[in-house]
Formats: sequence, C-alpha cells, structure tokens
Amino acid sequence: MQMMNEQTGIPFILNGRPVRSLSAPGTRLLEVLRDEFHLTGTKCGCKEGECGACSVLINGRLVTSCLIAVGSIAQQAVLTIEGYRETERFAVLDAAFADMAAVQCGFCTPGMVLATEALLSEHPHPSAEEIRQGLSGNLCRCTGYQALIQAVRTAAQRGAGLW
Amino acid sequence: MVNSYAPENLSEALRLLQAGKVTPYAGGTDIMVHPRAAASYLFLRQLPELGQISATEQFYVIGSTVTYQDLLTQTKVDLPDVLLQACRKVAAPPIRNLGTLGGNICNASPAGDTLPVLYALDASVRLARFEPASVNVKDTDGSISYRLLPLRQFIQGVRRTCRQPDELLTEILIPKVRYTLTEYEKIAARKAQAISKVSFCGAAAAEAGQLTRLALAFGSVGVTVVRDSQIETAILNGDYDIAAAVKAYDQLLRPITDQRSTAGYRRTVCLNLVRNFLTAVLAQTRSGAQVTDQ
Ligand SMILES: Cc1cc2nc3c(=O)[nH]c(=O)nc-3n(C[C@H](O)[C@H](O)[C@H](O)COP(=O)(O)OP(=O)(O)OC[C@H]3O[C@@H](n4cnc5c(N)ncnc54)[C@H](O)[C@@H]3O)c2cc1C
Ligand code: FES
Ligand code: FES
Repeated sequence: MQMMNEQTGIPFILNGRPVRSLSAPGTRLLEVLRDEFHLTGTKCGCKEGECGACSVLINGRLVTSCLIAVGSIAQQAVLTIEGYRETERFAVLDAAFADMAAVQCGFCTPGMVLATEALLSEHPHPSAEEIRQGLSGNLCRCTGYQALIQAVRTAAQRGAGLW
Repeated sequence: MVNSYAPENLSEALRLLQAGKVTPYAGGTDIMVHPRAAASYLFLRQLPELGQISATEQFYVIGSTVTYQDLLTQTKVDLPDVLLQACRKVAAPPIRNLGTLGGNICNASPAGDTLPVLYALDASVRLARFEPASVNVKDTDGSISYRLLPLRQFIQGVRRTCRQPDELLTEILIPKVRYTLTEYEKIAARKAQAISKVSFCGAAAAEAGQLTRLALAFGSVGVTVVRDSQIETAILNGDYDIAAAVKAYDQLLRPITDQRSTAGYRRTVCLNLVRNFLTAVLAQTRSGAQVTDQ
C-alpha cells in the first residue's frame, strides 16, 4: 500500500523528468505546478474545471489540473506547456496560432495548445465538429473561437504526418 | 500532517476505509471543486478491480472507476448506445478523461447526466466491504463481502446514498435487454460544460405490434431521478393514451426554479419530451417495425 504525505512526497514524471512533490496529497496539481515547480505556463482561471486554462496532459490525456489532487497522479507522466514547447509539434502549433491571429491576451493559449495536441493525436485530420468538440473544455475571452478553429485546421494541414 | 493512500488492490482499499476517516477519490471532478485542505484521500483509480468493463450472459458490468472517455473509446463490450449518448454530453473532454461513472452515482446529484439512463435501464450497483476474520479463524485475515442493490434504492436524495462509510461502489450492472427504441436528451444552456436543466431517458421494446417494455426517467426535476412504474404500466396496458400519460406526468413532476432554470420551463420541456418519445414509440409499435436501437 502506498501511504503519502508531505514527508514521503509524491513521485511523478514532470516533462520527462522524475520529480517528487512535497505538497500535501490533496493539493491541486495546478498549484503544485505553479507554486512548487514554478511552471507558470499553466494558468488558473477558475479552479472549477470550467475554463480549461489549467489544462495539462497526463499520460497523453487532456485534463484540468485544478481538479486533480497531486496524490492521485503518483508515478504518472505530466506534460505541461513548458515541456511541450520543446517538441516539433509545438513549433507547428505556435506558427499556426500566430498566423491565424488565434492569440490575443494569451491566457487561454497554453490550454488551447495542449487541447489541440490531444485532439490531433486522436484525430490527425479533424472535422470542424471534432475541432469544436476538442476545444469545448477551453474558454477564450478574446479571439473568438473562429480564429482558434482556423488555427487548428491550419496546423493539421501543415503538420500532416507529425500526428 | 494527514496521510492519503493509493492502495494496490481492493482488499487493501476496503481495510483502509474500515480503519476510518478516508474519503474515496475516483476522478476527483466533484471532490476537487471544493477541496478540503486536511482531507485524507483513498485514491481508487489505480485499483485493477474497479477499472474493468465486461459482460456476462445477463449483464453489462462496468467498474466504478471507469471514466466517460473509457466508456466512449473501449471496443470490447457492445454497451447500450443510450448510455454512450449520455456520456458524450457530460462536460467536455478534460472532465470526461477524469470523471467516472461511479463518481456520478455516489455524488448523487439530481443533475447527474448518466443517472436517468441507469434508472431507465434498471441498473444495479454492487458494494463491497471488508469482513474482518473472526478471532477463532487464525488462518485467514478476513474477506470481502458484497451486496447488490437497485440504483433507485441506492440513491436516496440530493447527494444522499445508502452507502455505508466502510463500503466502496465496485461495479454497475446493467441488464442486457433488447430495446427497440431508446432516447436520451440533455437540455442545458450550452452543448459543453453545462449542467442539465432537464435530462430524459426513454427506453421501449415492441414485439409483433405489442408494446412489451417501457421506461421513462427524468433528471433534474426532483431530488432524485423520477421514474414511475404505475404510469409506465398503465401505458403498457393501454389504459393511458398519450394525452393521459402526459397528464399523469404533469401531475407527478414537481420541478423547482433555481439558478439554472424555472419550474415552468422544466415542466414544459419534460412533458414535450415524453409526448415526443411516446409518439415515436407508438408509431413504431403500430407499424410493427422492429428497428433495433442497440
Ligand atoms: C466543469 C465540470 C463540468 C461537469 N459537467 C457535468 C455534466 O455535464 N454532467 C454530469 O453529470 N456531471 C458533471 N460534472 C460532475 C462530475 O464530473 C461527475 O459527477 C463525475 O462523474 C464525478 O466522477 P468523479 O470520479 O470525478 O467523482 P469524485 O469527485 O472522485 O467523487 C464524487 C463522490 O463520490 C464518491 N465516490 C467516488 N467513487 C466512489 C466509489 N467507487 N465508492 C464510493 N464512493 C465513491 C466520492 O467520495 C465523492 O463523494 C461536472 C463537473 C465539473 C467540474
Ligand atoms: S482553472 Fe482549471 S479549468 Fe479553470
Ligand atoms: S487570448 Fe485571451 S483568453 Fe484567449
């Protein structure tokens, strides 16, 4: 049985590196990422699972890190925007989001980019409906969603073969 | 300092639960909206016993920690389509990757989106607890005992179930029944990320021009899902035509006004949904058509 607390720590893989969080197991992963590991690319918009700004990938799946107790992810692999930006796929998304003017204030962007990664991994050539579904857990208050949908479509075209 | 636990198997988990003061944690999507700093969690997702989907001759058996996304992507078991329709309408992908069927049930919200489906399909839940060995029996260290009860008995009110503090929900059992028409509807402010104003599940079977089975379940319009076997029987026996059935539900349903919707809107929508569904059912029955919906 694995017992955990602030002393035992909680081991997991963060952006490819093994780490150990010394936060209480019930702490939101969002807070662990931002306050303990100083990875502030993951944003906090609501702490209720509504906005998607805190999205990360765990074992490749899109999840809202505000709704995850860090103790529940022991031994699992977390990918944040800081880790993802080292990838070739990120470069394609970065350019597509910029070219389609899908970024304004940028607060939703890390979550949108990771939601796009999750979507393209499942559907490399998504339909308009699949794009809307894939981004439906992420709110943007600036750009309007059309630009975002266009960015995803553009990325899917330019990145053919990458996903 | 409080401890949380990630047990390796069900027996270990149940022993920890019996020892006291741990909160079962599945996907966390209900728990973490209002987290308690000093909470001691019993993490369940890594337990192999609770994460399976299978089928017996009589039942579909879904482990309590199976997520919505698991249900939607697995290909092993041919699950009832109407259940998958409800899963597709829960929240949005990040929440569907975390939230579990067992969590939806144990949370016992009147707006739980899978509940009308599970009520309509006569689902049961299996609960497990640890039975310590009697002092006389030295060679065993206890065993797991189970009880099975209908979901509609398990859920007792708003966020109230009859789960004992030392019990875990292990599986959801759905009888394998062939329906000729099923329908799920969720009415909410937006398509994604919205809690239901009303949800509805209808399931019916017709054979040789005869209606043989009928289930009508309504979510978000009462303290628990509303299903009335007397009205269903009266419709089945031909004692009620559609108008009489709608009138009976009009008298039965007691929706309330809250931040999401008004009592009047909810009532109107429910009655429209039931009228539409019964109209489709009776048309199908009359034509003797055997459209398979599952
Ligand atoms: C943004 C957002 C949107 C949402 N949208 C919807 C929606 O559209 N429709 C909907 O129905 N719900 C929705 N929900 C609610 C929630 O996602 C679901 O109820 C989900 O199924 C809960 O499952 P979970 O595994 O996350 O539960 P948890 O939070 O882990 O647990 C919920 C409760 O059940 C108990 N519990 C869990 N598993 C067990 C078990 N095996 N044995 C005993 N007790 C157990 C826990 O102790 C807790 O009290 C939403 C939530 C959020 C945050
Ligand atoms: S901060 Fe997590 S979804 Fe908004
Ligand atoms: S760019 Fe500002 S919220 Fe999306």
